[in-house]
Amino acid sequence: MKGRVDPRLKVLVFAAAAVTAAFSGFARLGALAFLCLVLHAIAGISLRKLWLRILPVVPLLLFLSVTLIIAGHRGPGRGGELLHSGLMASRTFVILWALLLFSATTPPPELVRALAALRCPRPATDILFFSSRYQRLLVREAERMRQALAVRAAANRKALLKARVLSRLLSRPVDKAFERSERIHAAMLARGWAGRLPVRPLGRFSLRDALFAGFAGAWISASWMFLR
Amino acid sequence: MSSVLSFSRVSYEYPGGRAALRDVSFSVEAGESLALIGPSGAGKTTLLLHANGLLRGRGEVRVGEEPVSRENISRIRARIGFVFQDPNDQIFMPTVIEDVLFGPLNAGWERPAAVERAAQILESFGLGGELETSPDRLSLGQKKKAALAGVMIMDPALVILDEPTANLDPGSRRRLIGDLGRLGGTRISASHDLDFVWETCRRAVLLDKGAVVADGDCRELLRDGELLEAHGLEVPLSARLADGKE
Repeated sequence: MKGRVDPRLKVLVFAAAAVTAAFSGFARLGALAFLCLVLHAIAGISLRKLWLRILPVVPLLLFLSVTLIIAGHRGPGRGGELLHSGLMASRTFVILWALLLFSATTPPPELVRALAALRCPRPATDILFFSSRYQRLLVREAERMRQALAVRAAANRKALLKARVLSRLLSRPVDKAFERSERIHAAMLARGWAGRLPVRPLGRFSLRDALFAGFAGAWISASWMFLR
Repeated sequence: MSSVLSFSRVSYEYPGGRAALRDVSFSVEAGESLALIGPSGAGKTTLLLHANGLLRGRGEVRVGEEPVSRENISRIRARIGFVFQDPNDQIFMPTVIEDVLFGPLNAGWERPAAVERAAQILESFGLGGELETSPDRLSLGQKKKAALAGVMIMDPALVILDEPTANLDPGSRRRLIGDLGRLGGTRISASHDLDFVWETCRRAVLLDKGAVVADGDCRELLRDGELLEAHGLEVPLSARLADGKE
């Protein structure tokens, strides 16, 4: 599905799925999870790739689940506090799955084009554009710094010193990002920056787009009508 | 000959008071290829950033007949193409062709005409097969070419190159020299690579500690070992070979 479906439709379907999940019970969440599963299969994203993407947020998800379970006794959940906590965790899981599916099939430039086409305020699309564009450079910068640290402090195993160096290291990418942003801004000005980031317009909708929007839209609508 | 760019008694201090430029004066004539040479920290990049108003100090900078000022800065920048030392700072759009289109679309060109011209210019730089490639996937030499293409599409009256051969392998460096020779036009190259300067420039200005130390015929200046050594440089291999000293 990567690059095969119009990104505007993907944004709209994701938004509809997220809103639906936020106000749904188990039955409707199950329907949404099934929709995610079908789209996942069509997109051909491997479970390993999904797992790698989900891995950084697993601790957060666990923390959220535990917090919800602990706080569950104060909730108005039907069928017990644990059920209510489980419902909250399930909603989070389905939204996260939809988000991961969406991000795995929509490259950042496509997302920017879609948001621009959907009349998203320009400062938001510009910020998204630059952050996605330079995320990779910052990751590389951090990797270089990690290698330099490993090479220069190979024999240094004192935990306190290591922690101190690491804490300083954390702030360096920010400094470097600032320096780089200054240079990039100068280059943009030199190239005639007039406050407009050219976004390539999107083409017309295809039959595939119509099928995707029709299927996903009908499924979500049906889940609202027939499930709780 | 008409002057494309002139500096008249330009001085600049960095925040903190350290002098970066001291009374720099010289001009560049149409069609000239000028080298700005000097040791690290001599003020080469700082001076060049004055040409399109990215830095402003004391004295006067003129592009053609116009003094560089806030009022005409857009017009000035459209006439000067600036290729930065690190192409990663200069190339920021998601694909090569989108990056080349950045300048024209900001200048209000119609998209179809801009796309056609961008494809032509990328083809001429040997990047015709990379139009939809992410710049991240290009080699450094290709990135430099893409940056140069993004500048040349605007058909600038003057091209400024800051350390154009920095970090390039010999093959990429050779191809860049070929491209620059083919492009012609008025050009300023700030470089430590004196062999590159020997091959591509007719005139050289030697800058040290923010002041102009020498200004003259490039090859004569690059043969002056005493002068170069006094300012942290040395006679390039090309000059020694030409004089039969190697």
